Amino acid sequence: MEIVSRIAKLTAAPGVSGMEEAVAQEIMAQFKACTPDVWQDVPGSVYARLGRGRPVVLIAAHMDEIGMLVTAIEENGMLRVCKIAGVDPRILPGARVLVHTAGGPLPAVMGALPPHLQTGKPKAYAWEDILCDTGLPAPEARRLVSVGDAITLYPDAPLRLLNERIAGKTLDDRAPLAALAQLAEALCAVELPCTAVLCATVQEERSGAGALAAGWGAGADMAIALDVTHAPPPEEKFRTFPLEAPVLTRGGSIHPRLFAVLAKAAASAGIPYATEACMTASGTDAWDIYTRRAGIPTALISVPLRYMHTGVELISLPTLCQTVRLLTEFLLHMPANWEDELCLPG
Amino acid sequence: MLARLEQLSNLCGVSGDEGRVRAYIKQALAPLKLETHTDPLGNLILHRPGPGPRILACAHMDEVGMLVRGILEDGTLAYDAKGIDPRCVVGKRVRVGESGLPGVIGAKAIHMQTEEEFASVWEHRALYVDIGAKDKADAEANAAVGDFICFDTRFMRLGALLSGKALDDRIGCAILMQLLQNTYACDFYAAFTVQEELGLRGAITAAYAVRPQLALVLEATTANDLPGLRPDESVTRVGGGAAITMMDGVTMALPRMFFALKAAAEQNGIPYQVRQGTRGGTDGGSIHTALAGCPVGGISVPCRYIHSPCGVASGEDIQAAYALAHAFLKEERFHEVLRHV
Repeated sequence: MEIVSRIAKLTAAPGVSGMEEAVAQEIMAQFKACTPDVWQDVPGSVYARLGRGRPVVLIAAHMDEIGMLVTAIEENGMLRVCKIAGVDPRILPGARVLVHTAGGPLPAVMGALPPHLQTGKPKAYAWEDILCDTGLPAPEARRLVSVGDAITLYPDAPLRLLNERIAGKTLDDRAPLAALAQLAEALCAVELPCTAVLCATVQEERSGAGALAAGWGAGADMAIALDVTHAPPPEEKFRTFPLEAPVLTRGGSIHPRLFAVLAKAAASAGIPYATEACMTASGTDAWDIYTRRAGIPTALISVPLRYMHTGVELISLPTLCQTVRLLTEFLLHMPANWEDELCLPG
Repeated sequence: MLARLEQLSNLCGVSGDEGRVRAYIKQALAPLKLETHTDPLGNLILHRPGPGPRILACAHMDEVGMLVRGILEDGTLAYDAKGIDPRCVVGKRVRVGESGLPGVIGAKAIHMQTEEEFASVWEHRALYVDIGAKDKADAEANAAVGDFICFDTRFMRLGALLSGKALDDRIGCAILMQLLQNTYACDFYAAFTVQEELGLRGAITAAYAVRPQLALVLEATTANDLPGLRPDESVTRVGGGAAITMMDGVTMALPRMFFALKAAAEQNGIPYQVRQGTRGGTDGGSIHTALAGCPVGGISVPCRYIHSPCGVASGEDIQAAYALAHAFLKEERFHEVLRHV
C-alpha cells in the first residue's frame, strides 16, 4: 500500500487517548496483510512480530491522538468540552470536528463565546469560551450525545502540498505509525537476522500506559520509539529540525550505545539525519520503555513536523520513507555481537 | 436553492476576486434569458422588466479572505486579512491564487509556547500560509504577492443545520437566484454585488446603474446564540426565522419599510425575528444614501461563526428569508412603502 493511503486510513480512524479501538482495528488490518503473527495486549496496543531469534527489537509508534471529551450538554443543545492531552483551545474556533457517539460519529463545528462582544482588545480564547455545535436541537442532542463521548478534529484526507509535503490532522503520530506498517511490509519480504516486534501503542499522549505494558510484555532486548519532533517555522534554535531528514535523539533518557548503532546504520546506508539533544523526558514512548523490566536499551527516531497538535500538522513524505529505510537497514544489518555493542563502558 | 447554496459556498470569491462566483451565477441564470450586465467593478446585474416601480434586490458575492502580502525567506507567505478574526484562522486549510494551490495556516506548537505566548492572541501579522515551499524562490515559483487566499472548507449538513464557508453572503446569492425565477409586478433588478466586505463598495455602483426606487438587501448576519450570553447579545438566533433589520451600523430602516416586512411575515405565517444588533453593515448602507435616497429593507439569515472558516446556518431560516422577500414582492408591499415617498 502507498504510504499516503496508509496515513489517510489511519488518520480517518478516531483514537483519542484511551479510546483507540477504531485506529487499533485499522493498524491491525494493515499488520495482518504482512504477517499472521498479530495480537493486542490488555491496554489495547497492537503488535506484529516478524523475523525470528534474538535480539528482539521492539519498535513502537503511538496510535492515540489528542482530542476532547463532552463534559456537558447546554440548554440549547451545544456541548461543553474538556481537552484530552495537549490541545491548544485557540486552534478550535471555526474548526470542524467529529463527536463519536454510541450511535456513530456526528459532525460538529467548534465555536467560541465572544468574551467581549463590543469593547476592548480581543483576548485569547480559553477552554471556558469553547463550545461544540452539532447543529442538533437540544432534545436530539441529548438523545444522541453522552457526556464522555470523544471528539476528534475532522478527518479530512491529508492535504498534498508542494515538495511531497502533506498536512492534516494527527500526523502526530499516525504518519510514523504508517511508517511502522510500511516497515512491516518491507520486512515480510526479507530474511531477518533478528525479531522485530512492531507495536502501535495506546495512551502515549496521556499516561504512557501502552508503552509501559509493551516494555514489559514484548520481551524486547532493545527498543526504538518512532515519533515526531518540531520542525520550523517558527525557528527555535536547537529545538526545531528541518523537515528533510529524520532526527535521532541523544541524552539522558536515550541509551547511548543504541543511538550509536542507529547512527552507524544511517551512515552506512547513506541516510542523512539530524541529532536532537534531550536532557530529560523526551515526551515519547522511549521514556517509558527504557525503565521496564531490568532496563531496555531504548532509542528515539523522530520525523520533523510543523504545527504540532493542530489540524494542519505538516511533514515531508520522503523523510518518513527514509525512517522506514533506516529501520530496515538497522534490522537487516543487526550486528552479530549486538550484546557487546550495547554494553555500557565502565 | 440549498443545493445551489452548497455549490456557491464551495467557490472561492474573496472581495475583489469574485469572478468564479459571478461565472457560476451567470451560467446558472442564463436559461432565464434576462438582460444581464457586468459593471466595471464586477457587479452582476440582471433585469426582469415589469410594470411598476424599479425595485432592486441585492446580495453580495464576495467573502472575507486574505491576500499574499509578501514571501518570506523560508518560503511561507505573509498575508493581509480583512474582516477575519485572527483567532479563527490557526490550524485551517486555505487555497492560494488562481490555481487554488493548497496551503495551511499553522502556529507554534503548544509544547514550545511560553505562558505569555499561550495567553496571547495570534495576530495576522505574526501568522503565515505554508504551501510546502522549500524556500523563497520555490514559493515565488508557485505564488505571488497579491494572490488571493480563501478558506478551504467544504459545505456540509450539520444536524438540522448547514455548515460551510462564505455563507455570508452566498446565502443571499442563493435566495436572489431563486427570486429571479419568479415574475413580480415591478421593474425588477437583481444585483449580485462585489466588495461588500471591503466597505459596501459594489452596491455604490450597482445603485447608480439601477437607480432603484426601493431596495431589498439579502444577507447573512451574526448569530451569537450561544449559552452564557445575555439575550440581547445574540443579535439573531439560528432557527428563529428570517431576521428583519431595524437598524445596523450604517442604516436605519425607514419605519414603514420595517413594518411592511413585518406585516408580510406575520400575515403569511413566515417565521421572523427582529435583528437586535446595532452594529455591522450591509449593502443597504450604500444604497440608502445613493442618488436622492432610497428606502432599503434588510432580510437576513442568522449565521453562527460568521466570517470564520466555517459558519453554521439553518435551511429553514433560509427558506423563511426567501419566503419573506417573495411575499413582499408578490403582494406588492413596496407600494405601502413608496406611497409616502
